[in-house]
Amino acid sequence: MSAIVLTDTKLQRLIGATLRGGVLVASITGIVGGLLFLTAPDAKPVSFHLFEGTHSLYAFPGLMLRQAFELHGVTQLERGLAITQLGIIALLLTPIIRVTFSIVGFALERDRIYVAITCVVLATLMGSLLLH
Amino acid sequence: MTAYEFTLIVFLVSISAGLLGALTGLGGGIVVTPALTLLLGVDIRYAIGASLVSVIATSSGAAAAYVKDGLSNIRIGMFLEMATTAGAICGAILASRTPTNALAILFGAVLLHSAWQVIQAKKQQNRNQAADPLCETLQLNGVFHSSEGTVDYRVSRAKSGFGLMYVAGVLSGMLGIGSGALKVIAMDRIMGIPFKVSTATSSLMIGVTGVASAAIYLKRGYIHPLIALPVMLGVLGGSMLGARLLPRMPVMTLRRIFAVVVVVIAVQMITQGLRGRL
Repeated sequence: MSAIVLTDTKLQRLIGATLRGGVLVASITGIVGGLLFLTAPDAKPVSFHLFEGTHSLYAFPGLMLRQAFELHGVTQLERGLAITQLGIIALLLTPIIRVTFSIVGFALERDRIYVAITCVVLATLMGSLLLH
Repeated sequence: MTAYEFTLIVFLVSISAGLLGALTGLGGGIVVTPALTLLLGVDIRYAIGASLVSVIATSSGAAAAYVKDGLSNIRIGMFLEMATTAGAICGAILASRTPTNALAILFGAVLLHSAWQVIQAKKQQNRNQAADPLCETLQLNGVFHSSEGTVDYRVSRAKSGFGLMYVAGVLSGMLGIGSGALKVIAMDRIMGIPFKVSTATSSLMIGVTGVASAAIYLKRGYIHPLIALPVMLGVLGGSMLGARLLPRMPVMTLRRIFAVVVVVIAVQMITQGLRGRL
């Protein structure tokens, strides 16, 4: 019993660190992207009264990465928007990473029921990526 | 409005929402959506998308501290997350088929319920629980360390709790909120889990529940980076400030005042929804 308590504590520390790290990375990335976007010379006035759906880069991860990191041929506005979106993606990945670590943790404890339960949760999250 | 002004205003509004959310225990997400729609005239779908992002951020931030203290029960959380994630996906799909004014009215109703929840004095629960074999199999019973020493707790009625968690997930997916209030009701009132453990486990669960609907929101274009980013940073900052201030505040008085504020916001959401303005 004491062995289980010990590994649970370790698992909890790992989960805590993952969550804190994820939020930190997301915030810093978001701030960098946001500042680039706002200080771009061609920043336009905005209004969100009408819903147009974001013409986002989320559907095109390759393009988003290229706009964020490629040195040439990208305007500051585009780069800012791409990096901001990367920040948001980093935030959304945090709980998914947390769930993945939990699978490893429960597997190390040889807790089959919870490995199965956690796999169901992860599969649901992955399934949501495929839905429209 | 220039992008700069807009971002600044959204950021300031979100800080207040995060502060209010932390001091009432409602969470920042539930206040930020009405603030964006009623004050700034943002389309409710963008507001819901931004709110969901902020909810995931604050939940992860808060959960990190709770998990470290060993207050959240990761098994209870994971077991119930099967229900909340499935519910959240259904909710997110429902949201896009629901007219925005109906979303506003539903939002108002949830706010009214939360306000009522906030002013309710916490009653001492009867902890004489029947043993639940399912909870034994799932090893949901646990211990937590409080100032009065180590407390053992038993969990019961896992199935009913699971069912209510599905509903909490649907609401979360439809409205971009954490539905922490409903999650705590399911754990504290139904499953007999101590209040502290319920709140801590709830905030651990909110992040995973939120992500289940976020992918669908992203594809539908609900999450605009220009709104989501200042909302996320603002609510995060506001709730961290709120958590610091909380121990030095007359909490019950504050809660009563805020409950009135929340009721006013709820009535606004409902009337605007009925008039078809949102």
